[in-house]
Amino acid sequence: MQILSLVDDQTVITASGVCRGWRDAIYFGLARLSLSWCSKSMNNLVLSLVPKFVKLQTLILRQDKPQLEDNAVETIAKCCHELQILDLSKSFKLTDHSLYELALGCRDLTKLNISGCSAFSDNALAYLASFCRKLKVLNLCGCVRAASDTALQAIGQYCNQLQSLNLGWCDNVGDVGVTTLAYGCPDLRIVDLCGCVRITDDSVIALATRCPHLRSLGLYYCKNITDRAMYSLAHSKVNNRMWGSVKGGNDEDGLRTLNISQCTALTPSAVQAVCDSFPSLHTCSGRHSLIMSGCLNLTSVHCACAVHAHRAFTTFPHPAH
Amino acid sequence: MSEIDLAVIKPEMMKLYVWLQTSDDSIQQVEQEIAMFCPLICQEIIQKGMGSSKSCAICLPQQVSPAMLSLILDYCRFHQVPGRSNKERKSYDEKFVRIDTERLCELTSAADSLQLKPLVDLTSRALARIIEGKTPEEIRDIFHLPDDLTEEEKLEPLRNITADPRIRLLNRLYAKKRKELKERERLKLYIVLGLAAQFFCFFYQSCQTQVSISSVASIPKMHHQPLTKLNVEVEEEHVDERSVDDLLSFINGNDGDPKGVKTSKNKKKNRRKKEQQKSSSLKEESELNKKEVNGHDIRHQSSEAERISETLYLPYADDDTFSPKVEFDDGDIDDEIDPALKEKIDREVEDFARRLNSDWPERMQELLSSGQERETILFTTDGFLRRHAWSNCIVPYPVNL
Repeated sequence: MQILSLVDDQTVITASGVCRGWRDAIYFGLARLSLSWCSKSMNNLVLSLVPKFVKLQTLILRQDKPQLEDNAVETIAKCCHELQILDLSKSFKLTDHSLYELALGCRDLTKLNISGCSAFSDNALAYLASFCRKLKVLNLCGCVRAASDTALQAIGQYCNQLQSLNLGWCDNVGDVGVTTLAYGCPDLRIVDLCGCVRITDDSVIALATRCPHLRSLGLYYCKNITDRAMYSLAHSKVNNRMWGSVKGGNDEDGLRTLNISQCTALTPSAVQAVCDSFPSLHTCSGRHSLIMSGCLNLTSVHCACAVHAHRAFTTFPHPAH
Repeated sequence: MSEIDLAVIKPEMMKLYVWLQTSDDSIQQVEQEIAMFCPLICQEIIQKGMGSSKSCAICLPQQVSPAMLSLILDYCRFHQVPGRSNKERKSYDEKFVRIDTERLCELTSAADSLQLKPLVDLTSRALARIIEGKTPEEIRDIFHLPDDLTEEEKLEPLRNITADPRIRLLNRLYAKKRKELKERERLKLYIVLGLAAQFFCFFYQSCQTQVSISSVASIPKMHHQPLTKLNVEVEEEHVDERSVDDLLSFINGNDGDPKGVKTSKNKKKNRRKKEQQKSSSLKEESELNKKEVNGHDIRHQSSEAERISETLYLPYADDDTFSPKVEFDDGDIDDEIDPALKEKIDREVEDFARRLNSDWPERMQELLSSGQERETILFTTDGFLRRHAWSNCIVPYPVNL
């Protein structure tokens, strides 16, 4: 199996037709399978192959053009009970039926990517969340119907181990959903709220105060965000540092990526306060992790190392380096 | 090996050599520093104090033969030296795995049993490169594996893995094989049904002596031949009896043809030549005008019935479902024709062809407007066309009465 883990997925499928020994070893030993290379009839391929690979833990079914249908996901749910990672991105043809089946069949899911699956509803997503309670990574980018406050409340209630959530361009998401999420999922590290135009400072304050491990926050085009949110982020570092000293946390904890592009209501002083609080946030070229494009009034904001570079008398580099 | 592990080693255990026993029970002395590069040997020395003498040699796993141990120790010896650059190590590794597949498999197994991860990774990558892009048959040949999958399991297509041309080709070959098997089954069924139909027709003939049945299916395919010829091309079914392996080797160009690549270039030329040969052979065959089928003489005369039957099925010349290939025995064709009669028939054929070609467009138009009804055509001995009561009845097997 180690040899087959080094070859491409097409070769693995071919190898399963060599002899009985190899076939059984592959059928009962293969843990990861990707069919993203299949440009035509991926649905049929899933229907014929998935029932044989009963020990699958990772299944990647990314598509360029939508091919997957509900019957394929139903087969996955019925056959792959050990599945932990599932990527169904760009499966426009899938309906709520798929999520209901996954909820019942794949309860050990830790990573689920359903970005671009625009047909899913929030009720189906809430149902999935109530069963798949081990979810750690959830990508809902572009799931406009599915990602609503109702669904986020269910996720916050049931998926307490969640670490990464992508809500890009889910414009039905509001403060109620994000706040519930922050309270229910204290282990959140990555939250992408790009294009969630309805959220305000309350969402950011909830995330800042309730999620001490937050590493990455995307607020692109969230025009309602003001300085209040930025100061709460800066202040959260002080609180988290106190907790960190008790728990033995290191100084590298805290925000490493912050995207505030097109957040035109922010002032330089508030953003500078965030930048000073988190040494891992950089405005300097090559290490760009504080993204402020489209905010013309924030050109004066610089990270500590950028300031040091201008000082001739600085002998020691910044601790962040 | 970590410093902690070294600290645990007692002074009496610190020897220059350790004794190792391989799968064939042979015992050999190896430098301890090199041997301890293998985690399994290291554990045996540290935890159990084994290998210090010949009497308490470290028993290596069954997979480790003396030859494999020698290779593994060579690998360890090279990588033990601290001053080597990554480029040197990479170059050595590349050369190291340039061995025959059988030994490479043994080496992988031996390295795995000794928990020597770097070597397992190296050999696994080499084996992966060998496997990649090969068909199941090729993999079986490389690793000398048994061909123990059933025909059904083998012929089960790898559905829709069309991204890979090799698999697409295999699927096509398998599909061909399956089709042949189905055809044989169908042929058996047709023979049974044909006999039943013949009996049925014989029974009907006894009621109406003048009428003889000729179903739609029994009119042979015209094969796009010019109407002047008015001959029926008879083809025998060619069943490919070769195995899938033979077909694959033929496709891959292992059939001893040195011009394997050039053949595709001259495909059009070859096709043209073949067509010319076929047309010349057809001209010769057109001499054989008189055919005797099931005891009835059928002459190519310019009867109205024949003319309609010829034109009626031309639009379906491409459609195999309406034009099965009828097989005749050699005995059915009468070669001995009187020269005078032959000349007369030739004249009649030419005359008929001329007439047929002259009013072809009008008749074609007429056919198209009539909706191209497919009905069973009945011939009487005096040449008149009649339609029968069961005109829409389809005889499942081409029966010639």
